[in-house]
Amino acid sequence: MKPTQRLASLLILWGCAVNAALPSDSVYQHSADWQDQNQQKRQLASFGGKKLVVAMIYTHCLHTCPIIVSSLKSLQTELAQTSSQHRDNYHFVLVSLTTGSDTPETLKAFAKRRELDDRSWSLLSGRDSDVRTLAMLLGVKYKTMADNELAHSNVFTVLDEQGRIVMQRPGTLEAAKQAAKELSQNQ
Amino acid sequence: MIIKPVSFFGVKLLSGKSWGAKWLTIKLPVSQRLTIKLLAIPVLTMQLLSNSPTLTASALVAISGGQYRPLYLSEDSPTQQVAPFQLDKYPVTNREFKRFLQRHPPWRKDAIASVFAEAPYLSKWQRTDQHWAPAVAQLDSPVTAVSWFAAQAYCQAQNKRLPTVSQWEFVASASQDSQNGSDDPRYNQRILDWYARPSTHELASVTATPANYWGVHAMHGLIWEWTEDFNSALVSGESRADSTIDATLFCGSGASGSADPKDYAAFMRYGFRSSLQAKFTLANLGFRCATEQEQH
Repeated sequence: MKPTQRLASLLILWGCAVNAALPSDSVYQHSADWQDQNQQKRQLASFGGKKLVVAMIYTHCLHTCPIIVSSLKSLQTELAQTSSQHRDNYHFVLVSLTTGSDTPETLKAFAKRRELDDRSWSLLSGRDSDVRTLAMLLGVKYKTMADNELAHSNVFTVLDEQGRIVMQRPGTLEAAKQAAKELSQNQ
Repeated sequence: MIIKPVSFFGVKLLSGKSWGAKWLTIKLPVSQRLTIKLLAIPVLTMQLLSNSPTLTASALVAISGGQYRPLYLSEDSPTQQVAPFQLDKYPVTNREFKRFLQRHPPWRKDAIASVFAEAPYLSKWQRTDQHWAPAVAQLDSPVTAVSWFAAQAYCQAQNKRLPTVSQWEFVASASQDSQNGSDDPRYNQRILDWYARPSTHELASVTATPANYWGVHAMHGLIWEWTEDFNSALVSGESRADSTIDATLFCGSGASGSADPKDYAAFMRYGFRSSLQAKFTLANLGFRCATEQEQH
């Protein structure tokens, strides 16, 4: 075996080991490839051991989504006020429900408009089937209505470092504040 | 010496009763002068080699599409257009699902991640020497106790996907000889009669029920089926509050305001679907696949 082959097989083994090490009830068991607002390929498990706050949205949404994004920004602020450690422990992920119209460019523009910094926020788009599977894993229900509008559950989910669901709350300011309190106590 | 004896002779040597890890000694008269004695061939292997009739259950039927009025819309609300698509002729069988698991080990009963299926996953299958397998008598019956995730993975492995609720209901609304069975009282009554019967442990073969107008079998009368967006009827129109139940769908007075109050069976299906979660594994819940693409 050539050294490069040996390295390759080691890497493959390592990859398998990482996957096998995931808890059986981890959302990361679904290992889909997503694209972020900077056109980088991402997997949900790839956010370097941080806890994830995940919501599913679409950017041309006028009703629920602005509220859920504001709620998550509030959650971010509240956590940061508790300690800088909390600020660094969490990463915020918005996954688009309308993969057709939410391109990385659209998501980038949305992030800029809503002042979501690249360091703590990732806005992901992916394949329709992966979006549907993630929604099923998170218990998010959605249905395409007329005019490319979408009815969907207004919830956000907190995942631990290994992708297990820690908490799920409605995406309101009140619920986000309460969630921040609970998350900072549980550390 | 490895020979495929069963396919040579076109005889199914094994019945369901002999299923198990026994060893057999069989004498096969190849000619008058020669007898091949086969020793130590696992029953399991022989069953796989046997040439019992294999259903072409993955065969697709073309559905030309048409207008479909979702159950919960009122009489004057717009109908939905169902675009042409293709649907599996039969529900996916135990035999087919077993074949899928051979190629996709992460979905096997002893390997599947708990996030993708509850413990009763493939609950009717039996433990064999190596893996879990369906009873021989159930090979051509629909696979059940599979989660939405497993069903979707199966369809994706075939470059298909699960049908949407609209697609499924559109095809299911056909009776044996009419595209719209709802005008035929016998059609509705037959479905309700089935709903009223307790589900039996042993499911019949997927070919046991007659084809409907489209040539699709067993949309009713055998199992309930997963759909891609089974839980979306529950999304409230407003969607600001939460995933609360759509009152127009489930309140007691719902039927009187719906497009077709006669269609009590459809109400039961919507109610059933909305009570599901994607990792549920129920003994009478299976699936079939659909596609919009031409299959070659």
